[in-house]
Amino acid sequence: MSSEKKVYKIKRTKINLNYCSTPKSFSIKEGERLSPLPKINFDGNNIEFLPGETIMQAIERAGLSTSIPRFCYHPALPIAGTCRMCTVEIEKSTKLQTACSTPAQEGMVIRSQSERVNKSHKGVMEFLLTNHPLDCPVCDQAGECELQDYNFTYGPNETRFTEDKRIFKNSTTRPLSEKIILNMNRCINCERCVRFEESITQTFDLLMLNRGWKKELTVSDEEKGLTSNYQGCLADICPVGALTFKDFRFQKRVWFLEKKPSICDGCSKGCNIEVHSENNEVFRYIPLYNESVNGHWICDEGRLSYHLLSDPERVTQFKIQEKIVSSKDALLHFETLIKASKEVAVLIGTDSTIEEVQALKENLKLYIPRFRLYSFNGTCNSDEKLDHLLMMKDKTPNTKGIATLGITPFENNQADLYIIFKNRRALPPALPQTSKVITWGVWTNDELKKYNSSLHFSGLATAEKGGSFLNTDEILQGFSPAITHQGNSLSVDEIFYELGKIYGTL
Amino acid sequence: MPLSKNIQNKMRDLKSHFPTEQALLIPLLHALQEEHGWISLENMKEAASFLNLPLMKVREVVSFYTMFNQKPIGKIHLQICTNISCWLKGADHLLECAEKKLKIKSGETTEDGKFTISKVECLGSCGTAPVLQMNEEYFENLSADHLNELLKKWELELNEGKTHLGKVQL
Amino acid sequence: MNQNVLNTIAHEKNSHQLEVYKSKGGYSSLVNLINITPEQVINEVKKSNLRGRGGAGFPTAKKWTFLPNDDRARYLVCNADEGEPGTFKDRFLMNKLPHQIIEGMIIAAYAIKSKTAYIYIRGEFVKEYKIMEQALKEAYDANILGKDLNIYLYRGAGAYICGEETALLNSLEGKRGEPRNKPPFPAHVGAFGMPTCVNNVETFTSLPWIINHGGDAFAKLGVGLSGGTRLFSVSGHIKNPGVYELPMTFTIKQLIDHCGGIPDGKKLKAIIPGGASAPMMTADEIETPLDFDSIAKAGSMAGSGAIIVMDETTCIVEAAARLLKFYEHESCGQCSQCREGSHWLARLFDRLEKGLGNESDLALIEDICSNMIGQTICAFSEAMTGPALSSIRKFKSEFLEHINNKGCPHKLHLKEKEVSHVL
Repeated sequence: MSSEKKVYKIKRTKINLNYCSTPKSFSIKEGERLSPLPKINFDGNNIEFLPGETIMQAIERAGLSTSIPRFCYHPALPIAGTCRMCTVEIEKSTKLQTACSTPAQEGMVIRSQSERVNKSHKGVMEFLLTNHPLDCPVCDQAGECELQDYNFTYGPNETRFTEDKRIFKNSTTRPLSEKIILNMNRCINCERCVRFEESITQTFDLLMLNRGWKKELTVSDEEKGLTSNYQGCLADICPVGALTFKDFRFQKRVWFLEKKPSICDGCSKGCNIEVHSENNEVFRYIPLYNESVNGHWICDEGRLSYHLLSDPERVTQFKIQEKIVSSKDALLHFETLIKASKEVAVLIGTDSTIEEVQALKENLKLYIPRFRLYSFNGTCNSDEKLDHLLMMKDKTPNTKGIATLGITPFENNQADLYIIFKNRRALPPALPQTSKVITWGVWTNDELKKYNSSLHFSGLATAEKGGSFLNTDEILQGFSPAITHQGNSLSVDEIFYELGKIYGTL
Repeated sequence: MPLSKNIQNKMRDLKSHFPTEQALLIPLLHALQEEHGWISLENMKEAASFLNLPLMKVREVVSFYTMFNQKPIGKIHLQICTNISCWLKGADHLLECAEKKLKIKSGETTEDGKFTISKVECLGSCGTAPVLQMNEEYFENLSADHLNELLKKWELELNEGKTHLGKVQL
Repeated sequence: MNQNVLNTIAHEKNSHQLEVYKSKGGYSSLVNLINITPEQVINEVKKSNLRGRGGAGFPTAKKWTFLPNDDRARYLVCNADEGEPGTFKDRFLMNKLPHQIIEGMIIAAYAIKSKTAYIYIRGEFVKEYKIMEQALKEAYDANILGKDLNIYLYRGAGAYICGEETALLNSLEGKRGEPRNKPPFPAHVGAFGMPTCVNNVETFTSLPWIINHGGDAFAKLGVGLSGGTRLFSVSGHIKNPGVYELPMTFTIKQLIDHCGGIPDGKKLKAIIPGGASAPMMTADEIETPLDFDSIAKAGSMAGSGAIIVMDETTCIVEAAARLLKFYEHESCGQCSQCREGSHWLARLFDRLEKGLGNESDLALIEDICSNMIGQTICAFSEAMTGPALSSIRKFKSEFLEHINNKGCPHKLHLKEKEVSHVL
């Protein structure tokens, strides 16, 4: 490989997603617009739309999507138009039309509320609740359930259905895989899950058997179950508690959860996530919508990576060799090690934030007279994708960010003292047994043993800190801390602050 | 077990009729049912691989249509119409007779695997109600006595080892 | 007054064979086709006031004009998925006049400039499938087909909903027979994504006569905006059930008399004039003529022309329960209203029939039905409300009897008879 430094320009561009969004009949290039765009009138608002769009798509883009309730419609999935909840009244049309499947036409006057529409909403809610079991007290979805929310706003107060409810004996609670559990009695037949498997993951694992009120969801191959790497997304898109994510099942009621955005550090895609926690204990990650990065989705590996935060193997204390010490003692020992070494190499993992790298670059100069700076990845340095959706081969979130700062990759460079700074993702290279190693950041017990760490500065995980990553598509994504670290680790800034207090540079 | 040569040839002949391969699915399923009497999961997997379709597309089609049997049925499949016009002319009584004679309820098969009774919807021959379809053949203007005779006749024919009962011959 | 006009050849022995059909004037319209343009064909059919014979009664020529003027392939589809309870005229036509169907399809394909056609036959009609297969072979051998038009057969597999045109198209493509959202309409996105026109078997068999005798003459055979004669499938409590070609000027009463009246001297209680989805009509309404508009005015629908006659021994509650069970079984399950509503109505009517209902159930049925009309992908949901509402409105006393007697008074009456006999 040439020794040319590759510098990536940070640019904010809309990247063509490698998944299928609801195709529009033609796309508009940035900077180019039809003038003027045709308009519809929705509840008194004049809204522009692209020819070929449906009413629902036009309304979503105008930010008014909360005025129309819906079950089967999802902006990233092919249109079904079967739940009949999104009906609107269109002037000059005798029947109510579904907003999700009716193409918008110039001059349409649409009302989302009227006597007829309200009656239709009430009717659909009543029909959907006829066979839906009263599982709310034991159902995970309670609190974030579209059926509950819409019934509260649009539905009747009581049911008049006094017959026996439909029961699927074999699928009342049935695991479809290790990650997803099906409660078929709760299903409202929106078929979002089936369309997801057909169009997004293209694994075709789910299907509806039979017809009419006996329609039953099942997996296509009973032995294999669900096979995709995006099974958690099924629980996200299911509007009721029919498909639930086993990892989160019965763990925490959603109204207790605090929700803060962050970025997944599992690979170089940098999917946007929302961290759900209570008292700084994380219960789950869910994907946050970002059109340019991950759309509506996240892979299961990223979704489950929150477990690493509380992994018992994670070291959350400062250590001198194997002994746990206070941060002050560890920082005092730092100078001893520095003074005893002639050649110092600082290795920075490509899972560090840009701010951390810059802080290290600048502030270490104050303590180490001469040192060389390298980066390491250890997984895969390229842009190669693992699948057609989101997963990347590069399992570190900031490879391009580190490269942009002009840091060269480590290539067996010799030194007396290595300072290795990493998070949980980058894999440090093999080092000669004779050299001393200072480990810094998020490490496990095994890793510390492997590198014979003389000194360990315990650092923060991605969800516990703020910073920015430059992802594989060269999109810069900044994030703030989503939870507060509960152990004894410190951020890079805090460590330099303490060092400054001890050695008087502040 | 791969698809038989017979079926493969049939499908080859039909290929030019449709612009897509998926359109051959229902003819293929009919051919499989004709050959085996029912459509097993194995058959569905074979059909899926033959037409380059994911298995779920085949399974969802097989379960949607009532004519496709998903489990083995008797050699004589009695399909009795219980819709409005046949009901007006006494189809209920006919069904009762069949159930009593064969000692099974509708939806079940006799222990010796000879007869299955099914209740079906309108068979499109309401003018000659009540109507029953045995395998492929229609039996119209039925009375309980006539039905009893037919059942006896078919029992005999089965015992003689006759196959392909109820096949339509022009 | 038996006006056997369109289907005269059916009375010949072996009318399904090509030589017999041709010897009685069959395929003569093809000669006339050579001298007229497709637009002129559409014009003649427009003048004829021919309305779709499948159930919807949509003007055929108008349907043909919906196809867009582009260079994509166009398909013609013959809907032979006859599943409407009470209807059996298409079976009659396929058995007796397969070549008339083919002739009609050739005319229609010429009019809409299509080169490929499909005949979708319901799976249960195995004999009819084999007869059509034979007739097609004869037509190909005689070079009637193969040059400008190819007709392919397709077997359904037991789903009433596949009679709905978009569900039929989905079934033709090898998928579940679930109706599609409209727009886009089949005229723009039909079979395999191409412009398609779907017509009923009887609609096609009416075309040769129109070409031979002109659209105006056909219109004159009918009344108002309903041209021609039509085939009525008469069944139920009637002396001579069967398929009858009659003018639409006939009233229901005239039809019943023509078919021999009600056997055993029983009185008429109710008739269903257009297949299971048509609202029931009482014995007081039989002076209504049988054309599309008159029946619609009377609050029902002429539909598929299936006349189901019910005499005084019929329990209307059980008849309605039977029909609703049919709808529950055949619903495809896409739309919330139809999927849940069909099940709910079937359960309600079942309870009422068994005597376990109460009067509030009747108001409930009214409200459920009002939530099922006009809001679904296809008209199946609305069709269900036909028998449901008409039975509880026009025969309310029977329902109240079931409620008050906690059972069917007719059956209880029979039970009483048995008991007194034993005593």
